[in-house]
Amino acid sequence: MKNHLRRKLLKTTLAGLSLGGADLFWPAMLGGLNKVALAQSLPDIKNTLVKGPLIVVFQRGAADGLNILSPLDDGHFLAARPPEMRFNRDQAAGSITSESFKFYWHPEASAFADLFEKRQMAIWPAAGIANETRSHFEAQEIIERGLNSLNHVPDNRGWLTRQIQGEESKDSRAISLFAGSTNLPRSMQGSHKAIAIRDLQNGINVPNGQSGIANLAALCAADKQHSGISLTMSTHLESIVKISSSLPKSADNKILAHQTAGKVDYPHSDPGIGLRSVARLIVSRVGLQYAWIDQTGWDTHESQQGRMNGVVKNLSQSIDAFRQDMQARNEPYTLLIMTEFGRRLRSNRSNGTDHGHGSLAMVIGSNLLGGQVLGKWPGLDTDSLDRGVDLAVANEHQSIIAQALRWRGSIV
Amino acid sequence: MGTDLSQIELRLRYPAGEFKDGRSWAAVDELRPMHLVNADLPTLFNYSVKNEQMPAPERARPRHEIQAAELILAVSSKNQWKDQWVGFWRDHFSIYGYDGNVGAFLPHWENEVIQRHAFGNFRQFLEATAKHPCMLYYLNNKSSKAGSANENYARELFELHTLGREAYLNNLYSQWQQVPGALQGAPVGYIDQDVYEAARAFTGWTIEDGSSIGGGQSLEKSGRFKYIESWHDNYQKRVLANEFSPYRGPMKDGEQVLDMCARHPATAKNLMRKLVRRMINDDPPQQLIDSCTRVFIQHLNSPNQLAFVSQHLANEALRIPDSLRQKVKRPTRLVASFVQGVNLSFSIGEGKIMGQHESAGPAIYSWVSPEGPPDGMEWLLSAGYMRQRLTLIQGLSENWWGTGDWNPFDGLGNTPSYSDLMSRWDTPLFGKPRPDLTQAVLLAQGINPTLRLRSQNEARKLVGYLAWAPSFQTEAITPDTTLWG
Repeated sequence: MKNHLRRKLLKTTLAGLSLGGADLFWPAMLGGLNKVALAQSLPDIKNTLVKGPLIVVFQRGAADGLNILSPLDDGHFLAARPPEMRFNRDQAAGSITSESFKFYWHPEASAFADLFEKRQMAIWPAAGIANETRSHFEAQEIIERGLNSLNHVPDNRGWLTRQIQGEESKDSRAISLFAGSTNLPRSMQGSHKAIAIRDLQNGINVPNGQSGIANLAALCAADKQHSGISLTMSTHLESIVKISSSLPKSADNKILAHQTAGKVDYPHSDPGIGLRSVARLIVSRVGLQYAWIDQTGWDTHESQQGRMNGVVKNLSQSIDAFRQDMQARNEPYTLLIMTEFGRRLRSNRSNGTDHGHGSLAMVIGSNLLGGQVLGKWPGLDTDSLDRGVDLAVANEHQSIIAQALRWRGSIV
Repeated sequence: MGTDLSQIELRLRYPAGEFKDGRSWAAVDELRPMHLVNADLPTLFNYSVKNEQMPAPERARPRHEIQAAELILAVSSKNQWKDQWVGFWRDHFSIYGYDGNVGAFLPHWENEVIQRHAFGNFRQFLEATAKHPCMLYYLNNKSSKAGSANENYARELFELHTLGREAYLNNLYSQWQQVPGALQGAPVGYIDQDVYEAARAFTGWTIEDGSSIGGGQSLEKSGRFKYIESWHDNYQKRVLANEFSPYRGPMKDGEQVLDMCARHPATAKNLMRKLVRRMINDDPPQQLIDSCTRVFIQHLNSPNQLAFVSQHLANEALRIPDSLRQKVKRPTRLVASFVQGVNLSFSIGEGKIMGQHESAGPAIYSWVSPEGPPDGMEWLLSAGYMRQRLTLIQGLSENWWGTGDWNPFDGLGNTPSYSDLMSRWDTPLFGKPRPDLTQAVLLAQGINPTLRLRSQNEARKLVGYLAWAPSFQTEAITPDTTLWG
C-alpha cells in the first residue's frame, strides 16, 4: 500500500517536471531496452546548442539533506533530533518559504542561500532512488551505472560513458569525460578515455617529458603480447599529452597555475581542488562534456554536527568559487550536487544519524531558471516516512539528471 | 622475515606547535627507528587523538611505520602468493588509517589481526576485527549504546565483511518473514530489520579510552576492548530469523551474530568470489569459485580454515597458464619486482620514497570508505596512477629517493653496447627475452644498438624505461601450495 502510494507520487512529480518525451532522452536509464528510440533522437542531439559541460559533485557517504536544508519548524523533526543534533534558527544562513513548508539553510551554507536568492539554483528537497537499498555501495552503483536495480545490468558501462556515445565530438582526442578526483567514478566506467586527476595546478606529464612520451608510445605499440593493457596505456598517454599541451605555459615552458577570475579563491580541499581542475579544462577548450568530483566525509554516524560544519563549508565555498570563476569568464555550465541517499530522521546515541532514504539535490548553472523548489515535500509525519523511518523519495535522481541535461541543452 | 624492522630508521620532521591548552611543542627533525611496529595497545593509545600529551604530528607515526614496513618486507619477500593473500584480507577488512584514532593502533591491527588470522579460521578472524580498537573506532561501534544503537558496524559486517551485497534483499522484502527460508530459520539473505537488530546486539562493545561512564567511574586508558554492560541493549532480538532471549550474558548477542554471519552460505560465496578474483584474474572461472566455496565450508570449524582454502586455490592455479592469470601489480609489488629484477640493494632511504609510492595507487590503510580499495585493471591502471607508476619505476632505477644503487653493467664489463645492456636485463624483468621491447626503447630514443654506453647513469635510465612496458605492469601470482598456519 505504502509502495503503491509512493509510486503514484513519483509519477505525478515526474510528469510535472517533464517537458515531454523525457524517457526518450534518457539513454543511460533505458539500458538496452530502447536503443531504437535513442538512435532516432541522435540527429536532434547533434543539432542542439550545448551550453557548457554538465558537472556532478557527488557527496559520498550519504549526506544528511535534513541538516543542510533543515525543516526547523517541523514538530516531527524537532522530536526526532535533540537540540545538539540541529542548528538554531537564528544561526541559519537563510531560509526558503513556501505555502506548505519552511526550510533553513545550514549556517555554513551561505553561498547556497545566496545562489537560491539570485535564482541561480534549483532544489529538490526529497530526492533519491526508488530502490530501497540503504547500502552506500549499491546505491552509488545504481546511480552511477544509470540503473534501477543491480539485478538487471545491461552492460559494464557507467551512465556518462553511455551518455557521450550519443554526443560524440568530432575531435577524437577530445577530453569528454574528466573526474577531478584521484579515482575514476563508476559513472565513467568502461570508457578508456575517461581520465581522473584531482589537481591540475601543476599540469600533468610523464617523467622526462618528450623522451618519456616517446618511450611509452613505442612500448605500447610494440608490446603486442599484452594488447589490452597496451591499448589502455596508450589511450591514457594520448589524453595526458592532449591536456598537457592545452594548458597555458610561461615563456620558459612551465605550466602556469590556474588563477580564478572571481573574487574568492578555491578552497584547498575537496571538492574545491577538483572544481578548479574542471575550470582549467573548460578554459583550455579540450572538449569537456561531463565532469565529476567526489567529496567524501558525509557518512556521519557519529559526532554529526561538527563534521557537517566542515563538509558543508567546504562544499559551499567551493561551489561559490567555481560559480564566480565561471561567471567572470562568461563560461556556461550546469552543475548538479547529489548524494546516494539521505540519513535516518531519528538520530542515534552517538550523536550521529544512520542510513536513510530521501535527501537534498541541487542544480546550479548559467542556463537555468532557479530560485525554485522543484518536486514535492513528502513531510515527516510517520505515515509519510519511507518504511516508517526515513524521509521518502519524492523525486528520483533520474528525473533530476534529465532536467539538468535539458537545462544544459544536450536534450530538447 | 629476518629483517629487524624496529632498527630501521625513518625520518620524522614537523614544525613547532601548540596543544589546545596552550602548552607548546618543539620542532623535530630526526632519524628515528621504527620502534612502534610491534607495539602493544597501551603504548599505541598514547598516539590516539584522546591523548593530549602527544604533539599532533607524532600521531601519524604508527601509520608511517607500518606503511614503510609493508614495502620493506615486500621487497625482501620471496613469496608473493602469501603477500597477496595477506593483502587481500587487509583490504577486505579495510580500515582508514588517516583517521587519527584508527591510525594510532595500526601496528597492532596489522600484527595481531591481519597477519595472525590471514591463514586461520574466518570466524575467529571476524571476532578479532570486531573487538579491535581500529574497527571499533572506524565503524563507530565504540559509541554504540542501548536506546538508539549506531548501525554503522552492523551494516558493513553484513554487506562487506560477510554475507555481501547480493544477499542484501531490502528492495525485495520489508518484513523479515518474507525473506525466503526465514520461516525455517535459514533466510537466504538479510534486510534492514536484521541490520537494526544486529546493531543492538553489539551495543556496549567499546574501548578502554579513559571516558567517564557515569557514577564517578572512568575507563582505563589502554586502548583495549571493553564490554560495558550498562550500555548493552539486553532485551530480546531477532537476527536472520533467529530469536535471541533477553539477558543472555556478556557479549553473547554479538558473538551469536558473528557465528551466524561467518557460517552463512552467502558469506562463503561472497568471500570466495572476491578472493579468487584477487589471486587469479579479474574475471575468474565460476567453477573455481565454487570449489573454493566448498573447501571454505568443509573446513568451517578448522583453526586452519583459510590455509586449506589457500592450498586448494594454489593447487588449482598451477593448472591455469600464466597468460590467463594476469593481474595488475599493486605499487608495492611494482617496486618489489623491479628491485628483485635488477638486484637493487634496497633501503627505505629515510622514507623519502613513500609519497611517490602512495601516489601510484592506494597505499595500505588509505582507503576512506569501508568497501576497501577497488580491484581490477581499470582502477589500478587509471591515467593518474599510470603516470605515477612510471615515475616510481624511474626514480627507483635512477635512485632519486636514496633507495639504493644497482649495477647495470653486472656481467657486462666496463663498456657494453646498448644491445648488450638491454639483453642483459629483459629476462630478469620479464621472465624471458623481449627483443621487441628492448628494440622499441632504443629506437624511440634514437640510439644505435651497436654503440657503446657512455655511463652507468644512462644505463639505469634505459633499464628503467624498459620497465614502463605494459608487460611489466602485470604478472601471474606464483602459487605456493604450502599449508600455512
